[in-house]
Amino acid sequence: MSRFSVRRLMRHSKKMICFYLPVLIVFAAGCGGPDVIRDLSDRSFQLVNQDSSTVVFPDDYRGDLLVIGFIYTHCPDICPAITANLTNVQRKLEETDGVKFVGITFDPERDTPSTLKQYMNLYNVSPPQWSFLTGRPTVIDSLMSEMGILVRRTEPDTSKTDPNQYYITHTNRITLIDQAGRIRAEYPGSFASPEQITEDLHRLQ
Amino acid sequence: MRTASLITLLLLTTIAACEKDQKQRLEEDELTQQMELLDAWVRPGEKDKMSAGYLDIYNGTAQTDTLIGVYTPAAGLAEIHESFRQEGGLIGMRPAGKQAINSGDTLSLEPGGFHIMLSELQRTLSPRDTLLLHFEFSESGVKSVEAVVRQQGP
Repeated sequence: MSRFSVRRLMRHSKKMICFYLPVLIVFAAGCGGPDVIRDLSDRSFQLVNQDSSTVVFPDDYRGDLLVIGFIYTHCPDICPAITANLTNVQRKLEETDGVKFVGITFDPERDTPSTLKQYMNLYNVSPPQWSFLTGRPTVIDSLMSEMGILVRRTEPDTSKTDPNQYYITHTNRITLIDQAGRIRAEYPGSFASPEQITEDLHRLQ
Repeated sequence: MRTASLITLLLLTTIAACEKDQKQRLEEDELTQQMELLDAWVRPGEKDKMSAGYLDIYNGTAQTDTLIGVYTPAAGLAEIHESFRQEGGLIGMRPAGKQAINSGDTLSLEPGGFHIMLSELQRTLSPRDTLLLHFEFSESGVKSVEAVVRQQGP
């Protein structure tokens, strides 16, 4: 090969690199989905699902994309909207293989496995694609703290004497966790756009 | 000269008053002359637990009316509540009390805002069930509507 050809080839290669490398980087970033917000892969929380079976979170979901709604079943307005939003995402997804929908309660004292099962029945959602999780209060507190969910018990009516009658002011959140147990996106729960969540799921699938 | 000015002023005042009357009559003609309860629906809920109801309340009467209270045989307690946002993405709920609705205005009870808080459900509310909601107004008295149980709004 002549010196001229080598030079031309090098110049051409430089042009190719200058043009295609940024395109490739942008494309790769787009394909990879949202950035990692927090890595939970080395965390382990022992919870129970609606059937009282032990679930180790997030390990038992390794390999699946998780769409998680944080709820409590005594919540009449916002939490049902979060659950309904998860069902909207499920409906919008063309391919639901490898995607799991999870509800995690931050009110474990009242949300027993059987309560969660009844809640699932009301929303026509069922295993294996759906699970609702509860656990020991200390474990739930620790999990919520790790997930960035704030929970404050409130007494709306001081005349009520039943200690089981309370509401909870809480973070309104849907969280997306990838196949490796890393938080990839957080959405404003009841107000989140199912289209946005679906789009992020597609990029991570 | 003074008399002419006075007559002109009187005429203008009369015309303005007539126009105002006509405008008011037109606005009143557009009113339905009743309090309307529209698109009522309620979330599913287990017996003894909670749910929430939503609807639009249109005041088609010629005067301001106030929503005093709500009741339903389907729940031990029904109250107007409001979900409210706080800093840091937190969301809470509080009783909202009586709600005045101006003539021609609509009070929308919708997810994430005002809603009917239903406690101590007397029966399980499953999708497609129906229940009666009764609303008490200071001027219009009691108005009722049948609500459908749905997982989300129409």
